[in-house]
Amino acid sequence: MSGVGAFTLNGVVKRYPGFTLGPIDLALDPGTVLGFVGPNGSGKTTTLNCIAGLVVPDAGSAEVFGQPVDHRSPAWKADLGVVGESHGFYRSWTAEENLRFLSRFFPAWSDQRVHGLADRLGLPLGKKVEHLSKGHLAKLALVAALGHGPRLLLLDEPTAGLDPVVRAEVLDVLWEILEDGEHAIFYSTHVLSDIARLADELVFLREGSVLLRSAKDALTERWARISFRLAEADVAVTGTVEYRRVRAEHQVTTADRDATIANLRELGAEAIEQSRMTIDEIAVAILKGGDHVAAP
Amino acid sequence: MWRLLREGLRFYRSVLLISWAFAVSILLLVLAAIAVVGSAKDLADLQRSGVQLPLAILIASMVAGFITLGTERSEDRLRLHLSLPVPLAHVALARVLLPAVLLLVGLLVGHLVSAGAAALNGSSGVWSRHLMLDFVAVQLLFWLQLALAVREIVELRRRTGWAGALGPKALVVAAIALMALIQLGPWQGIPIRAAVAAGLVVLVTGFTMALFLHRTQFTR
Repeated sequence: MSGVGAFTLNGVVKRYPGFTLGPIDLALDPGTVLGFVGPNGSGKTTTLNCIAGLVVPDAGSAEVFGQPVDHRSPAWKADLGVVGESHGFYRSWTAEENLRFLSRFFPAWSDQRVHGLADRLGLPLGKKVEHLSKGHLAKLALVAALGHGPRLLLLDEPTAGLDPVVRAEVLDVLWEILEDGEHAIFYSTHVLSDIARLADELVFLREGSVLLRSAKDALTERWARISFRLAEADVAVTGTVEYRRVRAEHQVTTADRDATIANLRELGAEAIEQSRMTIDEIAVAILKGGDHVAAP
Repeated sequence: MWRLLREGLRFYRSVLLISWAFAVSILLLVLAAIAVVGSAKDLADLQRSGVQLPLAILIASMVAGFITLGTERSEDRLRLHLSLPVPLAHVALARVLLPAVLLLVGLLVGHLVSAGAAALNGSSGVWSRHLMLDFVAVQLLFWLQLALAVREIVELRRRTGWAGALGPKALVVAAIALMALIQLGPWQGIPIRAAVAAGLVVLVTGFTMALFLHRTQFTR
């Protein structure tokens, strides 16, 4: 990691009755998109809230561009934009009035940027928030989060429940934001196709613990499904995380394709065929398998 | 902090005005009913007392204050406010001051109406009416601030469990008992009662702010 990270989490722990998040150590470089993947209740939103200052950790600390996440000196918020499940807008004000409200608090607010984004996304600024559709509300949340030009964007399920067209529009905007190489995005979602398009790296979270952090390309490169024929009934093959046998054919899911194939050749396997896995399939395998899957 | 408060007042001023309009309409209906059902003397006595309209405005302002509290919660305003580069103490202060200021605006208008009515009727006992209005306002403010304190205790209980919120709960019960004593106890004179009640309101407000500032979770 070079220079100041977009955010850093140092040993963050948050305890709830029946659930403990962490300790989490996580950092993100500027210009990077980190996808945050995990099942419901794994602690994704709590982690994001620790960075956004909405949850105070029981232990550890968070920083945004080197500034501590501390409500007594809220300078770190100038570099942070958050799109969450809830937004807190004044419902009987128009989208424009809500954006004007925000503009009064952020010195770096740019009406030009906001109107450009609103036009780009087709957001009806004159409509009251209570009359906005779910898609428009998501767009407003995104425009509001970007109005002051933050360098770090925290996105918690920003496209949840949106139709494919709106989702594509939102992703296009995020893609454009990333072009300058200075912005960082921490993106939590269940929609793995979003991440497949945007993310540089993925973090897998389960039951409050980070299972694995890996570059997206490395995952798709290393993970594969391999089928082969081998006379032996039971085989132990290097790198495999799942195994099954269908009649004479063995099928494995591997987290280390090259090592598995080399091992199979040593064992004298025949008719070795491999197929690439999608990010969705890899994520499911990792999250289902837990620690022993993430380890290779 | 003032900007946050000013924006809140801008948003809720229509709620305040509508509450006043309702209160005045209801009062007029009641007076009309008395004029029809009651005697002319009843109506004259009521008009002479000159407190109905200021009191109606004051109570309507308290209702507007409670609507404000409910709306802020249901619209998850804290989420929006915490995204702003504003210290938490300022957010806390704006939260407790917003309903209070609505009530105080109502008190001010109540005093003006009371003074206007006194000037028109030339009635005596004007100062005692003003003092009574202040005393009522302080009591209404107490209940508004207590609602905020109870909300913070609910948050605390969610975080620490039943036993963890026991101390603050006891303090709230003590505050209610003290307010009952101020209202019903063997005190002489409205000014001293109003002053003690105002002191209690300040304590409850400070207590609410302390609980808010010690929160470790700002999500619903």
